[in-house]
Amino acid sequence: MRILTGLMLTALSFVAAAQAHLDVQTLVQKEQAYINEQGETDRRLVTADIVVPGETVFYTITFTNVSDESAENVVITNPIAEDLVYVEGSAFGPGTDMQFSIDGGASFANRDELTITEEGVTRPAVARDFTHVRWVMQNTLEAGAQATARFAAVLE
Amino acid sequence: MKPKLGKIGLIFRLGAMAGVLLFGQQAMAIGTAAGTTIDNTVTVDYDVNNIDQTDLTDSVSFVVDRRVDFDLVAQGAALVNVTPGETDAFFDFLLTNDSNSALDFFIDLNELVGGAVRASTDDANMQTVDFAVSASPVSGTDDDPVRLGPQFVDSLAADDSIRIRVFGDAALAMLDGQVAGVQLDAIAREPGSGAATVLTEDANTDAGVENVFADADNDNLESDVDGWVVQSADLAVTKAYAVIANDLGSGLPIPGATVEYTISVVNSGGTDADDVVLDDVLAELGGAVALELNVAGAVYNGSDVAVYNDGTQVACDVEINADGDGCDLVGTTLSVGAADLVGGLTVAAGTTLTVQYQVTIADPDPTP
Repeated sequence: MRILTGLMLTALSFVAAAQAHLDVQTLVQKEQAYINEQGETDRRLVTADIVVPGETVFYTITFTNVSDESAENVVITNPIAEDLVYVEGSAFGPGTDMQFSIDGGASFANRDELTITEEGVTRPAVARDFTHVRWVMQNTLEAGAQATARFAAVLE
Repeated sequence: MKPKLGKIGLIFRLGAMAGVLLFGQQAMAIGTAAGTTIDNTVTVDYDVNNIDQTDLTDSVSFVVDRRVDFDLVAQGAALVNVTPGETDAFFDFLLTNDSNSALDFFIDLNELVGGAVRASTDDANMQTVDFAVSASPVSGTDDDPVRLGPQFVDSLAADDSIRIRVFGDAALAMLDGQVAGVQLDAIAREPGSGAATVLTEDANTDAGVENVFADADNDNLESDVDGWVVQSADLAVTKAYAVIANDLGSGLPIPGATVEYTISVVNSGGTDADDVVLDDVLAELGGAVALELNVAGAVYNGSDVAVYNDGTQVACDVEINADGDGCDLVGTTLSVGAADLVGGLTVAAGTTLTVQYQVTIADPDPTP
C-alpha cells in the first residue's frame, strides 16, 4: 500500500510537471475597410485569408495563465519572418518592456539602443533591420490573468 | 530564467549569419512570390516559483496570394508613317508583369472606330492588321516579333517584360493624312495554361493562392492604343491647250494651226511622289486628226518639250530616246519621266510639274 501510494504520488507529480501553466494563442490578421453603422468608412481587423505584397498583417499573441500559480519573468519572443518588415511603432504590450533584435535573436535591446555598423559607418537600426520583437513582462502573470502582445509587419 | 539584458549600446558587426538574415529581408522589386508560406512561431518563456518552465510555442501561418498587376504601353513617340500599298508597317507595345507570379496573357487587337490615338483622331482602317508576341522576353534575347508569330504571352515571369508587335498593311486607296488606330488589350491568365485559363478574383486556384487584381481599375485588363498616319503624295493632273497660231487667224484649232498643250501635275499631298511617269498620246485631239510634234526647240530654251519641275526647267529632248533625260517619244506617245531618267522623276510635296509642248494639226490641203 505504501508502495502504491508512492507510485500514485509519482504519477501525479509527472502530470503536474508536464502540464503547462500558460496557454498561448497567436492570430494573424489584416485590416479591411468597411462601412460602419453611421455610414462612414472605417477599418477593422479580419482574418488574413488573402494577403498580397504591400499589405500589412497584424500578429496578436494572447497568453493566459491557466494554472493556479503565478508566472514570473514571462518573456514572449516573436521572430519577424524574412519576407516581412516590422512596422515602426506597431509593437504593443501593456505592462511589458519591448525589445528588438537585429541579429537573428542572439541579442535584444531597446529600440533606440540598436545600431548597425556597415563599412565603418554606424547608423541607428531601422525597422527593416529588426529580426525579432520581444515583450518582457514587468510583473508576474497572476493565476487566471490574461495579457496580449501585438505587432504589425508589411509583406514585401 | 532569462538572463537580464543590460542597456547595451549595441554596435553590431554583420556576422555571416546575420548578414544572410538581413539580406533576406531586402525588398524584391516585385514582392514576395505568390504561394510562399509565411510562418510565425511565438515562444513564451516563464518561471513558476523561480523555476524556469518549458518554453511554450504557438504557430500561425498564411500563404502569400497573387497580386495580378501589369502594364501595357505603346512604344515610340508618334504615329508610324505608312505609304499606301505598304505592307508590314509596325509598331510595338511593351507588356510588363508587375505581379508576384508568372502569368500568361491573352492578347486582343481591335481597330479603332474613331476616337483619339496619340494627338490625332482615327478616321481610317488599314487593309490588314495583326499582331505577334516576341519569342523571348526582354530579360532574354528580346527577339523582334515575327509576323504570324506567337499569339499569346506564355508564362511571363514576374518583373519581366515582353514586346508585342502590331503589323499593318495599307491599302493603295488610303489618302494622305488618314489615321488608322488600333487598341491592344492584355488580360492575365493562369500561367502555363496557354493563356486559356481565366483568372478569377478571390477564388481559390491552387495551393491556397488567390488572385487579387491590382492593375489599373483592378479589372485584370490593360489596354493602349497606337496607329499609323498615311504619308502619301496626292496628285492631280490637268491638261489644257491654247491655239498659238493658224493661217486664218481664227484662234480655232483648225488644220494647220499650232496648238500648245499644257499639262500640270499638282502634288497637294504631304509626301514626294517618286518615279512619276507622264504619258501623253498626241493623237487624242479629235482622235482621227494627226498631230505633229514641233521639235524646233526654239520656243523652249532649246528643249523639244518644256518641263518645269517646281518652277525649274529641266531638259527634255524627244528626238533621241533613252538618252537619259526621261523624255521619249515612242509612236505618238510622249513620255516624261521615262525609265531612262536615272533616279526617276520626283514631284515634291506641294509642288507642280508642268509640261508644255506644241503640235501642228496636220493640214491635208495646205493653203498656198
